[in-house]
Amino acid sequence: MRCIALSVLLMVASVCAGAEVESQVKGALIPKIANFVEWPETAFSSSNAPLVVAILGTDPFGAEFEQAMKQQRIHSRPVIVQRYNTWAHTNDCHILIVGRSEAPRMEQLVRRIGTRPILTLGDFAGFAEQGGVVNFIKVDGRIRFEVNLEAADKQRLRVSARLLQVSRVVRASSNSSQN
Amino acid sequence: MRWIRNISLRYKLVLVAMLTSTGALLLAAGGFMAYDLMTFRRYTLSQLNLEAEIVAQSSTAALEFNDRKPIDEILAAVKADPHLVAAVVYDAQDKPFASYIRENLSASFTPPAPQNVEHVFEGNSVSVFRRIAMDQRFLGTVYLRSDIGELKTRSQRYAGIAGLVLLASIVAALLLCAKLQSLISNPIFSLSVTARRVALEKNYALRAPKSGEDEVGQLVDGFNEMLTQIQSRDVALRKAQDELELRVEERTRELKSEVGERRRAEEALRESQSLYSSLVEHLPIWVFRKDAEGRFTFANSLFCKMLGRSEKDVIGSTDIDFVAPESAAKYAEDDAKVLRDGVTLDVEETLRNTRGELLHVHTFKVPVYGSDGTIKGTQGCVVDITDRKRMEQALAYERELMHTLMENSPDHIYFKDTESRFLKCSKALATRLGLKSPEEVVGKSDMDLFREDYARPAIQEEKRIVRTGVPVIGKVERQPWKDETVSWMLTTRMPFRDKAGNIVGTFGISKDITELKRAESELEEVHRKLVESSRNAGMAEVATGVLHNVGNVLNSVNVSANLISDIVRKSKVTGVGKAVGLLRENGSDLATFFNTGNRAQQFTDYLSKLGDHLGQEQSALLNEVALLSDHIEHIKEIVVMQQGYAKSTGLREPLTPKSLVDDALRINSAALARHDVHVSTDIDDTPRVVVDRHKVLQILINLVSNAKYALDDGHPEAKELRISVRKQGNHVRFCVEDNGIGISSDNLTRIFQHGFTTRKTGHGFGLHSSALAAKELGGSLRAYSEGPGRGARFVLNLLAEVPITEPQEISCIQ
Repeated sequence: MRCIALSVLLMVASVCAGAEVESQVKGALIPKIANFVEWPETAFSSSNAPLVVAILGTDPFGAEFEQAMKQQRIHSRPVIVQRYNTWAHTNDCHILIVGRSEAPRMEQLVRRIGTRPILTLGDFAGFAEQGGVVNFIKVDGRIRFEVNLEAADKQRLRVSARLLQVSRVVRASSNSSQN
Repeated sequence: MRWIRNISLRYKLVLVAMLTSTGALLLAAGGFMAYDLMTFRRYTLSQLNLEAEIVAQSSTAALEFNDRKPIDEILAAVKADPHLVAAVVYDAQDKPFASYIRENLSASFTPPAPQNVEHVFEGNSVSVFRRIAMDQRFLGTVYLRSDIGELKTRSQRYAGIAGLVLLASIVAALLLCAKLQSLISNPIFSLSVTARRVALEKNYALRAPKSGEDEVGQLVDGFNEMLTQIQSRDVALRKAQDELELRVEERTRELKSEVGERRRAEEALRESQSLYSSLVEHLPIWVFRKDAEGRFTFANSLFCKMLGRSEKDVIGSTDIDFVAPESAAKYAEDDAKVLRDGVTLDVEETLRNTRGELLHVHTFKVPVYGSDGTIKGTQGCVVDITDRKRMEQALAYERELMHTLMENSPDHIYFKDTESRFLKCSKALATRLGLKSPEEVVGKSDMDLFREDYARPAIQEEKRIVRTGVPVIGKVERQPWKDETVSWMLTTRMPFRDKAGNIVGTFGISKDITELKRAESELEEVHRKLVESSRNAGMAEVATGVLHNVGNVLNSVNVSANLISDIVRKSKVTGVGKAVGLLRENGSDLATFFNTGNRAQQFTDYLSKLGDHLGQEQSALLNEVALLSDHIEHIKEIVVMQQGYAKSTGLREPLTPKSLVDDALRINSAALARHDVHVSTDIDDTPRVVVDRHKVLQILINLVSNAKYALDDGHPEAKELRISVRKQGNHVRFCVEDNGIGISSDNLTRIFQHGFTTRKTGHGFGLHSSALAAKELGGSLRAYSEGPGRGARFVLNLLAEVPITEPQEISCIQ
């Protein structure tokens, strides 16, 4: 774990290296963020049921991410990574990584997800504003993220205050941000 | 520490209480302080831990996402804690990620390497390390360091407060203790005072006062109980000691008395020996002892002297050697009788001494017993009774003389002891008493032998003689006997003295003088008759006086009668007849008669004058008749008085003194008036006198009459007779006083004697009989005069009437 964390930190330290490095950093941040988010009990079939990470549309993190994620444990649960090209199969996931390709269909996606306990994660501008829960952004050249608390509420997720300390809080259809 | 044991209980109590309370307070203060500091430390630590936790919590995301901002924010917040010296957040590599260091320390302070401990106290600070983890992933470490200056400040403040509280508490405790210690110390002090007093005075009767039922009270009880026991033991001890002493004393006394007794016994023995020898040698008796053969074995010096031999000659000899053979034979016979029968011989006998004198002796002979009880010999003593014999003979002669006198004298002679009991009496007296022999009177008294009315005064008289030694000589006594006859005796009673002159009784001689007495009384009777006739003569004189009085009054009666007859004879009553005649002459024509001239007027005037005259006559007549009546009444009174005087009823009646004086004066009134005697009376209101009226009148008339004569003879300028009556004690005192001729002192003593008179015409029985009468009435009559020409005063005292209470109803005692 420590080695991984160390490697992650080293990756973060060298974030400025390029897009490759950037996406790797983002991929490493995902389980950390997930750890600050709590799902309702009903989201899992059992106490040791695996946490399902679904990737929809263009994969921003590549195969290495998948490999890395499979070795991760989020809330002490094993992680399963699934890839989807369409949103039609995304029923049983806990984290839905929404690729940039899906940006035009955001409204439909949000409607489709409804109130299911799914942490939606995106990496494009306006994701959070359009109903996504967490969106990666770049601040002062550093990768940060923004959180739509209303969306989180809608998805019945509890976002730790500690996570909020290090993130931007946004509101739906609004560009106002909060430090 | 020794001094603590010696200081007073009071201070000990205070000290103990102070030490205790101070210790307790110190302990409490220390405990509190320690507890508080510990609590404070824990609080500080927990505070620090909390802060570390907050920092750690806040640092999780910051470390996870490598974002310093939240850490800086939280550190800024933590900075508000003034004690926080430093706060450092290390990353997983133990490199300081973010830190805060107090400005004044920033130069010198370098964050320490994270340690795997929770907290570290070092010096004035405490450090806390806290791991930051996320799902058991180590993210970093928080390090916080806080100074504990407050702990110091706090402990200093605590020490100060504790010190003040301690001081205040000590002062308060001292005050309270000083006050309250007396609760315990006072009873103990009083106990100790009592104990000291007991020890000093050794007085175990003392008791300690008890103040309560606590242990001290029990101690006091115990102490008192102990004292009680000591006291009782002390008393018992003392008693035992006393008893011991007494016993020792008693024993000593016994020993002494034993020694004394022994000494006394020895002395007694010596004394008895000397007594014996003095008895035997000095008594005027002859003492001898003989053996069974009649040989003298002992003879005292008198015996030897009587025999005219020396003791040596006497011892071993027998009677035959000294006396005539017939005497010796008699003595031998006596000795044999004593030796044989063991009897005591007691005989009077005669013997002739060596000078040939005949001696009367009294001999006692008794046997001498040996230690085996058998008779060993005889012993005897002989008393010379020659003188006694001689005296007896002389006495017998005297007795004979006495006997002759007592047997033959016709007089009553007797001897009595001091109790008036007869010792002896003459035969004549015994015979007169009707006794057979004079011996019968012995032991009896007059009360047994005579009538009591005689015996009692006789015994009184004998007692007086015994008491005073004054004899009664030649007393004439009337002696009534038990046989109811009466004798007159001329008696002499004398004290009867023994040789020493002590009165041991009385003796007396009485001579019967009855015949003599009878002759005397006959003489007296003659005399009495003589006096009686004199008295009658006196009464005749009184009667003369009375008749004279009556005569005087009759004179007045005569005058009155003449006067009345004169008045009647000269009466103008005839004028009435004349007037009537005149009217009758002119009876046919009275109108003409009265109308002629002023005849009517003249006639009326005449009748008027006549009426006046007749009225005067009537009143003059009435006057004279009243005077006449008075005179006659006077005569009547005089007669009644005389009658009353003449008869002597002997009746005693209560009379007022005034009536008596009035009567007496009335009888003498004519004579007194005739002799120009001015009479004044001064009679008090006294009780009545119970007297025979006539006797008193006799006395008073006599006194008044005497006064009249005395006034006649005295020729004073004004003849005054004063009679006064006064009460004096239980007597009424009549005083008849005149300023007449008086009585010479010689005559004053003789005035009441029979037949004495100073008047030629007097017969001298007036005052004598008056005095007798006064005495008979239980009173007295006395005369006083300051001498011739100075008047005289006679005082008659009579018993006043004793008021008698009204007798109670006696009907029930029928």
